[in-house]
Amino acid sequence: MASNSLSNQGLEGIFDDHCGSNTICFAVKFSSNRSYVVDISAGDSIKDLKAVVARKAGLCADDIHFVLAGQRLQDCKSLQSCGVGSHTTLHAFCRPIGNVSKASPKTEQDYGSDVDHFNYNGEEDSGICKECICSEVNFAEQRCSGSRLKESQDVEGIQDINSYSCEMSRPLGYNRFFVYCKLCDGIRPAKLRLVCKGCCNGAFLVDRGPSNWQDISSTTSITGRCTVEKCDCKTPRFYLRCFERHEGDVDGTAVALKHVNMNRRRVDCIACGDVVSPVLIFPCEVGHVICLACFRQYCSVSLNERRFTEHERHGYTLPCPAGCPESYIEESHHFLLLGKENYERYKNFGAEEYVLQNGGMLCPAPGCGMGLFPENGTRLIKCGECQFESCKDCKKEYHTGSCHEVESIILNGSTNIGISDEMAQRACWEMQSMNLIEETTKSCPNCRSKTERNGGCMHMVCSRCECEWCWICVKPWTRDCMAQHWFG
Amino acid sequence: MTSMEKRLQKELQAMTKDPPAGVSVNTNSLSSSLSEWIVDIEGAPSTLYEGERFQLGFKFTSRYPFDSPQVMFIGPNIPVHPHVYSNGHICLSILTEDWSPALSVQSVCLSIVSMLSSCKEKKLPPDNAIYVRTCSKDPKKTRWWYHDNSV
Repeated sequence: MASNSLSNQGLEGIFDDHCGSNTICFAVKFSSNRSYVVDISAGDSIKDLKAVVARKAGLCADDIHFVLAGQRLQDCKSLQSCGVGSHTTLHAFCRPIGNVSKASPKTEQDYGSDVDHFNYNGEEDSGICKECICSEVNFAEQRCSGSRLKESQDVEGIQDINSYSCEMSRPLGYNRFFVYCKLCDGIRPAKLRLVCKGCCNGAFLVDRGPSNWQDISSTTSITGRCTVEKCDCKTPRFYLRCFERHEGDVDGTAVALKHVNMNRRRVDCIACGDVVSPVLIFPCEVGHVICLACFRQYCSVSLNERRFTEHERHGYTLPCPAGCPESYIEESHHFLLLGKENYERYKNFGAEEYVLQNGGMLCPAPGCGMGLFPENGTRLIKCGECQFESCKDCKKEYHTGSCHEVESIILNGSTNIGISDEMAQRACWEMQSMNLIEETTKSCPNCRSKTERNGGCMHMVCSRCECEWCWICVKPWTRDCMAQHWFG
Repeated sequence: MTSMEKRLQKELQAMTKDPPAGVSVNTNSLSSSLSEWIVDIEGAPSTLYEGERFQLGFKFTSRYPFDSPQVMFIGPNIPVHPHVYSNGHICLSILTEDWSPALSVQSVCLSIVSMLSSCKEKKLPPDNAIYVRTCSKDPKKTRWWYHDNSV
């Protein structure tokens, strides 16, 4: 306990130096939908805030209680040490102390410290508040680990994350969870927030602070109680926001990254061997760790070589690079780290893969590529997007007669309809490139993808359908191919 | 520094400081970017290759360790082994399909030493003649069928 209280004070010291006595402006919201905007110094205590809000709302200061991320804020704490800053919305409820106890005696025992504060104001004023320390053990531990990483010299953080190290040592789940913030365009530490699952009221008190992803994603792991009188919901709904203070409506701009975490055990990156934090931890038994820079490289190499796999539950994704069984990135937003352009490519490849794996085909019209699911028994495929009519078998413009006959007509050019010079020129180019493709590629015998062979042996593996085929026979690869013409 | 350089520098440090038995990096062979290495290996005691010395050539691309290194026997002494072609190419799945960034130069060398150690009879691969005559210079451009895992 002693060490916890020391580290607590130590970090608050850092915090005070950093933030000074700035005035902050934020909203206090009651469950009755009344809300008040408050201007107050960041160094002021919760007790000071109660006095300000009591004056504005015409209530008794002792009856007001503030809730942030499921925790009731204690009188002796300063606003900044609770993580309250500009644009924070602080939830409040108003209830005389006696009634609070009656409303839910069992839970109140856990938060008993709070009630005690009201009765022992003298002790609070002395600045030593044992009760606060007791009830914050969970968070104190969290702060310790945060500070250890921050202070240890050989931990090279990713630069943009490291510059927030001060913020990351904040309490209330700051350094446990990370989001990809679309407004910041990068990974950011997350603020954890919650509302009552039943009535969506923000003044919901949890029985304990969440410590891992399971806690915030399951509906049974953490319980609590809603402070709205008629609501008896016991389940909170958690959500994450970018810790940066974005003004206005920020719904949907931050997506949770469940595999990104602080590197508390200080494990080497599987690729570059550096020990950094935060990192991405794969859900395999050993929990392989990869730094964010190497993860980006892993994704981009895999994307370029089309090595992502289509997983029935997790979609188009990547496995643990060490090949651990059933260890995949389970949430596609992690691939936002690829950057905008490559994320678009990722989504396109993923959609194509889904279509092809589910018996569909891609519209062969130049520049279209729409996913189409042909009906049984017909060779004519009409694209709903570009209206192009194609042949299911040869993936060319729809035709009568056999696919082979049509191919030779196209390549030998046998029409003599009058066309403009420009069109003729253009057509000539297209004919030339089509001829070039015909000369340099062969079609995969399974999915007909045009395939170029850039050296090596005759044993081809289709990058689209993974069919193993022989370049010479244009048929599936066999032992005979290996014996007779492995290398041509 | 790229992740390839960072990683190779760490591997080099570990291998020169604490080299595994029978494996040593030829430090004179290293290029400044560390993209090519030569590693000397020795046949393990009480095996068919006891006392023999071989050289492995490693080449790394900028995509290392996500891309496997190109590894082959080089120099005058190429081991006679059913998975080693006489041009130095090695048929070992961790060098292509089963490569993982969790592997390293050290683990590749140890796998190759152990592949030699488990050999019961010194003989060339059955298709050595045709392979060596027609194959590409880069062993990574060969796709093998790994049927036989016993040797």
